[in-house]
Amino acid sequence: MEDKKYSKLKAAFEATQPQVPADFTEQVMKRIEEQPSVYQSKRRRVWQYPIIAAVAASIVVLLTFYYLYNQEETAVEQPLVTQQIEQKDSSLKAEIKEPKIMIAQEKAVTDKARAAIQRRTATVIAHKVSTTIPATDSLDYYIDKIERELAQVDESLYIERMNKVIRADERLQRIVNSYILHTLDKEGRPQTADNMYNVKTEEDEE
Amino acid sequence: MTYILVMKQQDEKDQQMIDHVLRDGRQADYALLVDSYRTRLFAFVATMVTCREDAEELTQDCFVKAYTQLAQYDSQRSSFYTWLRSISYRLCLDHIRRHPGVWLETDELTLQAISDDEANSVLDTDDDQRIQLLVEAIRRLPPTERLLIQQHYFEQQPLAVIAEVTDTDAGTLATRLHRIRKKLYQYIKTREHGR
Repeated sequence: MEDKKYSKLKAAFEATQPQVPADFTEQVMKRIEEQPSVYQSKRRRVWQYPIIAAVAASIVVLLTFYYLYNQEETAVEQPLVTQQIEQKDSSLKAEIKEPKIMIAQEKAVTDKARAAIQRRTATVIAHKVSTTIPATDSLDYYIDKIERELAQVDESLYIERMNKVIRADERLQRIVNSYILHTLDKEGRPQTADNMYNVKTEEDEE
Repeated sequence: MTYILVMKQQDEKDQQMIDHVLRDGRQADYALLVDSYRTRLFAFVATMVTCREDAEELTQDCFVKAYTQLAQYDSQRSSFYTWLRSISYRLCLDHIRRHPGVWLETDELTLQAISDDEANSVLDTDDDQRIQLLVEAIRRLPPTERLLIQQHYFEQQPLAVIAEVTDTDAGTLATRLHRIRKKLYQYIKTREHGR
């Protein structure tokens, strides 16, 4: 490029051009300072990423432990509850096979049992509606879970279970028998001395 | 060769200051870069945008934008000044689109009638009157053509560098320069015969 060839033309052209103001740099730097900080020290930038990665990894690990802990709880309680239900089921089925007299029971004890079952069913239904039973509150959770399982058991099995309970307790038998007799007397029916539980009282023996 | 060495030293110096800004956030180093290039860049912008206030604002915009995008600057692709000019060129084009003007235009037939020799020697003059007419004609050219004359003849920039700044190719720029010279010749002839 020839420097001198167009120098006069260049000078004439530049004479018509405006000049840059003296405080131009200060104005530019002032505008830059007003902007949000763009650059940080590279050391800070370098450390940012490992810190972010460490925090993210900690969160992932905590979530993993939380998930695994909940999985274990569910896995433990499932076979336990199933086992308990199976045991109850088999014992109740064995009791059904025994010969029994149901007439008085339907009149008195079954009424009470039915009332109890209704109360229990209502409780279970209330619990079934609730879907937010916390798995971490272990005792309440177990009780609710067992009740839900038992709610599915047939009503007759409940009654059989009550029979078994009554038969197992001598005093309770006497109370139930006297209640039955009292109820039957009120209704004017002939008394029956043959209580279905076949427990011989002292009077019988005499 | 000396010119190339000087440019290389300047590039290395610029890169050092840019590294300081990026690595340590040292704004003082960027102020040094602004000081180094503010006069030339202002002349570049003022060539395209004739209003002084607009040229000042656009030049500031260019430096501020360059600061925010400093991490994207690649010294392997171009020098820092070339990169600055490419930013300011786009800013100026946007400004011109928003503020269109009336520029010197000549019909094709008239331009074809002018010989290449006449066109090539139009700028090669020491005559003061002709120089004044040329300056007048150059200022009436469209902004991009005016810039091409200023960068190639006054800033002595190679067509390859100007092509990089304006995102074109050197061949297209050479054709445009030839056409611009014919325009200037036509303008001078018209004014000289009119006197």
